[in-house]
Amino acid sequence: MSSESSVLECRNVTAHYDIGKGIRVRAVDDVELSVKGREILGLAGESGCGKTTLMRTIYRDVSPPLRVVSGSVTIRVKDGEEIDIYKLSDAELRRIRAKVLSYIPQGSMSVMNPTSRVKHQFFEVFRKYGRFKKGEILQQVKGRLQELGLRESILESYPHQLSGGMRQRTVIALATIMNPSVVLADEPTSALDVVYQRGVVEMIQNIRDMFGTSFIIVSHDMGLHNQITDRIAIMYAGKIIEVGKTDGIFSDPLHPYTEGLINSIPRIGGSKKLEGLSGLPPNLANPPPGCRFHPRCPYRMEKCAIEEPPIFRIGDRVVSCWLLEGK
Amino acid sequence: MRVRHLTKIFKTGGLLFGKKFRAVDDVSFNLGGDSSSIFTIVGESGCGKTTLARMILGLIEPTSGSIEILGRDVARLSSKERSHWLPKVIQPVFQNPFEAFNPLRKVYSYLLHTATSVAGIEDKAEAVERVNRALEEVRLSPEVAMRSPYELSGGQVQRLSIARAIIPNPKLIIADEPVSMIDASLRMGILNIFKQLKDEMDINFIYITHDLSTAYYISDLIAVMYKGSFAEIGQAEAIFKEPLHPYTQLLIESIPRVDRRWTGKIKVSVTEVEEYLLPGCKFADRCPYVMEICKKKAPPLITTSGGVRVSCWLYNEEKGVAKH
Repeated sequence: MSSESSVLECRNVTAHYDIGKGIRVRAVDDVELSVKGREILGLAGESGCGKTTLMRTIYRDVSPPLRVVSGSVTIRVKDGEEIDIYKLSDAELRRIRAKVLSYIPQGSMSVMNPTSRVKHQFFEVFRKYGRFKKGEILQQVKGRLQELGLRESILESYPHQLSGGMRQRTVIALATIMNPSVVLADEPTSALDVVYQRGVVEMIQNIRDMFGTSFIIVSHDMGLHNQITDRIAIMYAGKIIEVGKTDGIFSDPLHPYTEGLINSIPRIGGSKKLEGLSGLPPNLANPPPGCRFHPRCPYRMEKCAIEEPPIFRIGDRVVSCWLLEGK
Repeated sequence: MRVRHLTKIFKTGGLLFGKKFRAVDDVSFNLGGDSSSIFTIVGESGCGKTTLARMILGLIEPTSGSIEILGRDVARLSSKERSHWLPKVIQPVFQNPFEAFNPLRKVYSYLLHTATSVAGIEDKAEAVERVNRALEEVRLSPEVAMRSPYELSGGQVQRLSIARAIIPNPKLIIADEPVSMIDASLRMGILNIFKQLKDEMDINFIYITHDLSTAYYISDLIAVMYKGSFAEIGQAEAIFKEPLHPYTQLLIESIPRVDRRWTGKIKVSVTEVEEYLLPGCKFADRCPYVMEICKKKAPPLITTSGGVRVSCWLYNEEKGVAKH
């Protein structure tokens, strides 16, 4: 691994959907991304930009029409050993999941088994790893719930008896019970009311603080990213176009798309007329030449339509935009 | 428009042992008058805001209370007036714009149909002109409307559904979560259209949302709804500047803002209890300032000196400030 402190690293990951008739949707295109230990990394971008496909690619939840064309995803396990997720056998992959790398897909809270009590859903997680004693596990789970500030009584409840916010927190408790190094959470708060969103955010931060877990939080909501993340990666049309520390991204966005996203959100107390961005994201089956954002970019130059911008590094910031050339 | 004591009770469960559920409980407000305004109803899911909208649209019958539009009681309209007059006055814009259009039909022919049958324009050329003018208002070219809905993006289809809504020249548009399915970078474009229609076409809006940031951006008036009732209602500026009701305070503090981080911890209720059935204030069990009276008697909606109306025992009529 290039960086000592990263627990997960994606290198040159490209994934396509081959949807027949020669149509190829380039949902993830040459993505470089790393997550450090104890870090909450945000992945921001609008619907259809490839966020979820990138998560599935990292988790190796890949089935046709999705195909990983190139690149590697490596993860560091507890004893410091590095594993390339795409070099594992199916059995090894199963062992890694939940214990090292956990994935909470969007809408997980609505797909909990409705006929089984929450405690049985915890047992299910352990059952995948061989024999276990229910009594011991129950003690362990109760201890964990207490640490996370959840009531023990939820174990005897059925999912429908819990409120949305509670169900989502239960799902997070389930996904982190084996103490994975990295948790991928896709839109963990988008189905929740604002008040409950805050509860979920606090829980994710607690898990990071207590167990040193790293998270990748996928969300379209820049406000949420500002509350929870340490660093943010912005994705547009299958590409990561800017990565940086959260404070820096919000105070001084360098990519025009990042700037547009942040300026699309009304400030309470502000009275400025907001315009948002004009135009639409490109069709990923036929992306525009050059920079994929150039048709919508207010600062576009001639070069932008011809040549794709490389990645420029400015301090700890990574930006893919011709405006930053030579800076 | 005047809404008085509007209430909707849903019955759940069996015929004999069924429970009553007050989805909307004694809601009153006025809208319109000298100039048009955008009235936002904010609240969490299940607070009754959509039920309220559906009653105003005449899609469901209120259990009690009245809705008066341009001086006419909606409950007393004949069925012909309901299908001909009401749609000329009130138009909806829904959350999922794709549901507003027939997927098999070109959008333009549907808009033309709206002009002839709903707006009642008989002359073909005049109908075409009305449709084109509506498209101009939402900044879309007629070419876009020549396509089928599935060929368009969510943002475009939502603009088209706004164009459809303004064809009959309504006095009021009820927009239920119109931008919640639209990407953030395109939301402002749609909300700006609402502002422009209010100013240029003198259309009133009831904007229903859970999103307080967009509510702040476009509203003149805001009502915060909690479990079927208005907790607080008043000028948007006043409510955001100094929220009075503890629930409004909790909501505003919980907004994931891009310019500020959350501080401290909040107390959130753990399970959904049947608070709709409790006698006192419905927020009592979550309220950090709860008093004895709150659990026994529902607080009335009182007008404070600042002009905001609030339903909370912490405030009284004379001062409009906290009693303690």
